Amino acid sequence: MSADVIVIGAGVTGGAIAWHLARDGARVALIDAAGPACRPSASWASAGGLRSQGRHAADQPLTLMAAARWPVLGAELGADLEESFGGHLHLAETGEECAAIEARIAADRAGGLAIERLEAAQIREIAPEITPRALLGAYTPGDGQAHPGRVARAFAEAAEQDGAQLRFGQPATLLRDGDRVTGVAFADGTTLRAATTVVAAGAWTQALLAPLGLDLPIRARGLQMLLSDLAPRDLLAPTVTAVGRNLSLKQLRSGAFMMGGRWFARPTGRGQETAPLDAHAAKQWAGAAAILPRLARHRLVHQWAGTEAQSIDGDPFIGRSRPGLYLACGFSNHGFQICPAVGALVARDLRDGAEPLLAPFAPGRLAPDAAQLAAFRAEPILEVA
Amino acid sequence: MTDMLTPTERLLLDALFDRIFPPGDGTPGAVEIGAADYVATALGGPYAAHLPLYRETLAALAAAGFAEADGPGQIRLVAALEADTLPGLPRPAGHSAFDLIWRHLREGLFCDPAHGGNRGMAGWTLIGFPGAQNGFEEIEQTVGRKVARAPQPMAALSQDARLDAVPQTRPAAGPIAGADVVIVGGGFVGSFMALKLVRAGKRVVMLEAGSSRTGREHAMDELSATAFRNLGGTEKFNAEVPTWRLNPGSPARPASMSQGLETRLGGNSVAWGAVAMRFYEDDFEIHSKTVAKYGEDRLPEGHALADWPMSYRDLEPFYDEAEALLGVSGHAGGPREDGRSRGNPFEAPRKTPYEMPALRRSGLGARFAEAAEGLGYHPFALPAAILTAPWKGRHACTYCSFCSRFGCHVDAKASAQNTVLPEALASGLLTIVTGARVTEIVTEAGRATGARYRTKDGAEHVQTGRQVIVATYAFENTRLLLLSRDADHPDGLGNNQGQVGRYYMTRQQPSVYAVFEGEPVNRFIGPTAQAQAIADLSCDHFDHADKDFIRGGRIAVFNQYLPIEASGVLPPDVPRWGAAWRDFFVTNYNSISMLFLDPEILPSQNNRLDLDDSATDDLGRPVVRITFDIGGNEERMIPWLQDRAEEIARKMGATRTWRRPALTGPISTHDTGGTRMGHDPATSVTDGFGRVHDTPGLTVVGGSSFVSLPPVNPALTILALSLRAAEAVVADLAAAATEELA
Repeated sequence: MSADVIVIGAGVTGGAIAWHLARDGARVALIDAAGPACRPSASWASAGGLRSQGRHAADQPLTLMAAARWPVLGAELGADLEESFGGHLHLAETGEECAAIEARIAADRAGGLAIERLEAAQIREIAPEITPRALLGAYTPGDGQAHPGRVARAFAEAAEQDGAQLRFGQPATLLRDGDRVTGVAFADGTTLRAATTVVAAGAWTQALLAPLGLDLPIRARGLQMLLSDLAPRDLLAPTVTAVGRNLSLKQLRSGAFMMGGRWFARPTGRGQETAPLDAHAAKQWAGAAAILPRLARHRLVHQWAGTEAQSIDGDPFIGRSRPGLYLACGFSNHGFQICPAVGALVARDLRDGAEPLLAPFAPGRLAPDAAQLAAFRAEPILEVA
Repeated sequence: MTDMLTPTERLLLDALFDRIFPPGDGTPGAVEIGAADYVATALGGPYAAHLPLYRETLAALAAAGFAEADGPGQIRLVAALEADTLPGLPRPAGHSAFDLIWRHLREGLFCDPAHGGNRGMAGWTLIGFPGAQNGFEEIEQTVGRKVARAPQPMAALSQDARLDAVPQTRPAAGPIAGADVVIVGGGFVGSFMALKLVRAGKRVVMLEAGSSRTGREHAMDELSATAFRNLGGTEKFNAEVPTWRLNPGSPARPASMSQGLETRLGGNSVAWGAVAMRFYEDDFEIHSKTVAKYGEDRLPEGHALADWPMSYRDLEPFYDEAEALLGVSGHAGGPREDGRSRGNPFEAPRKTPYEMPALRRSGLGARFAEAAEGLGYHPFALPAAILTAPWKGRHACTYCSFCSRFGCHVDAKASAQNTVLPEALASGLLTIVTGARVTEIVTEAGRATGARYRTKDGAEHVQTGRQVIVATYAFENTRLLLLSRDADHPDGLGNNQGQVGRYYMTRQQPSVYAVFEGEPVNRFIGPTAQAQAIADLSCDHFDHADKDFIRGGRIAVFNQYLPIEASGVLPPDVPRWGAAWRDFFVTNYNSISMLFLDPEILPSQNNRLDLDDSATDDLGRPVVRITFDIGGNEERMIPWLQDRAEEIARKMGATRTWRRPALTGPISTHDTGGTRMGHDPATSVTDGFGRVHDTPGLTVVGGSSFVSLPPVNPALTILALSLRAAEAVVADLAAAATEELA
């Protein structure tokens, strides 16, 4: 069996790449040890925020591309993505924090983003239930949210309709011929060969690359999410973050509130699985209730954690690595919004070569020393108060 | 999607449907709601097999002049159709043409619009059913308060929860080497045992006849989840539906299913109501305690009462373990005297509280509890394997409308898939083979060594293992033993003493219906098991000295009242069609409740399972023949319980009540017995660990193991027995390994 390109990982990134390649006529195989957005992957767990503001400079062109794409993506895929576009609101609660808002607005405007500066009264107009302590906001009206699991499944289905071969349910390892990656071998002994193999395997990337002697400066971390019971719908249109809080907050279509942020979860010892820490959940909920006081009257109904690949400098690794090997990983905390852009650009990069917008993400761009990398990976899970 | 009927047939169908559910004063009839469109389309799809029945029925109506008849004339012909007296009507087995058409029409009125009926949710709007919703709040369950929500279809639901994907299984394609244990059946029992075995380091191959699934496939979809009623839906069982007769002298006819039996991965753990209740201490000594208190002569004629081969104390650690795996919500019980117990005052002693608080009390539950307390009873919330708080990656209950018979949309209700299978599969020691329909247990020199199975394409394979576990359902556990024969077991495995199939018991559901005219009771909100019950009239919790029966039953109010099913629930004086039916149902849909009775069914010499040589499954193998009737004890006890239930209903404010018959038949999901556990091989099939007396290497566990059927949902006890049996299998494997070394 062979293909032009094998994409390992059916999350939002791998799915977008496979779909764009298949749409362009390439013979693509999308493979995953489980399936699209399965526990405990990043795409399974992600809170699904579409936030274009507050991005690294290298991210900005991708973010703009993606922001133009999201409103039509559901129609392109023929799927309900639970998408909504109530904007994103980043809040300051103290005078000191206002400086960070001003700085973000300046940087994002420089990058060409339509970002608005909202005074307290304007914040209340957009989100009446937000704490009166919110003094200043940075607001990007085109942002919003979508359901990462639905998006990943829609990508895989669209890729299949465009001729991609889907192979889910078996772990695979990379096949090599000398220095060149030539495809994958599945657990059942069968193989699949391709000129290019794309590794978009999130937290599973390190284990896949280890036999090649490749050690990207990434680490796996479980991030935990909380879900509230249902509130009346349409109480909170924008997705919300705050300068002084480790928090992302949104109201879903159902009326439930979802709380994310970068709260680490506890490894369970079962593969890459992690489980939410109650100590973190308490702080996470308290932070959300400080921003949206009604949460004090709501109940936690579900919590989970997914494992994400975090890169040492916060930017993903996208591009050619060894011969026959292409990487797309390390997207933690900002991969979802840009996934349609990444899919389009990687497909172009593989077809035409040297896509300039991806140049800043070259896998070889960093050479951290061993001590730095060890310290990055050893950062404690539990936040000490 | 095409209309399968000719234009003439279609006109006739429309006219018939609008006679059965006619338009009213400003309200739509069946055709406008889309019921005829739904049926005409389904006849080209899922109901293609029913097309001839429709053709013949419509032809019979046409021949009788239905199209030309005036109003009264058409009404007379519908009456003849319902009475099955119209010349030329088809005669399907087990039901009439009208029965089937009526069921389909109700589907078209009240199914989710995704299926093509209930156009614009007009059917739901007519009766005030809010559709596929979740997150109902306590106040919305208040009796007397109409639900204010507009109906919502499944398509509008968001997927907030993050849950497990379909368990990874391997399609059946030949034996797998190195199995320590082969488990037949991928349901609750097999999955619980598999977890225990892989935790002990054993390699397990599980053979599942159906396919893999999460269990959420038909969540919030009444039509698909209850399609078993039309012989659609279950993958294997439909071909194996047992026949039923009342006693050995009478002919057996196909049994109708009051509940569906799930034959895909997870089995009934997907569909169960999740009441997770332990048996009472005395249940394990039912024979000796009854004799000690009342004497031998109070045992009913033809009884087969016996003690269990274990005490509550023996099983208690496994109840603890099963509850810890499931996640059970409830209030611990015990005597009320100290004023602290909100639970069942008769509950067997337990060492720990439940994992989390009970489901909240509904308005209807509160009404029941107040009435019951007023009559001197002790109402309590049934413990349930339904989460009331997030736990181990599962979502808390959302109090939606779809629970029993449905997989849970957020995995709040425990299933094999959301409790034990993830860990068992992650061990790498469990392989689940799907599409493997086991036809026989294979033996060598009288010892069980494996199972023969058939794949979908007809290939046969034998999967061997050092131990074989049969964990299917009461019917198939029995049938597999009887169909597996060798030189040492000429009448089937376990059957050298003729005990296999004996003492079958099945729950009768002789409930009392209660209408609260003019008062919304909102029974369609909240999980089925969000129930209030009394156990004062169960077991020997009351003195039987002056009674003409022994033992008793449980009375409870449960939730769940979904419109396809509910539109078939009618008092005896309301016809099944016409304006009278429409008006009764539209007016009272949200005012009907039920006092649910779970009577204890005693084991009896009359009742058994065997093979029916005149009825076969799709492979030509005999199906199970059920011989079952209630005995004199039940005949005297059930009306007595119904009297008390009616008394509670009246005190609750019911304006009218009516009763179901005492005998409601087999296939109740509480089907038990057939491979009875016991110490004595002359009177039982297995020991207390499920080990078949006459066949080394073979364990059979499930409801079939039961010695008696207390008025308690059997699932938790089945799981406790399974965990105990799994420990015995591990011990037997260790003993065999030691012998081999020596």
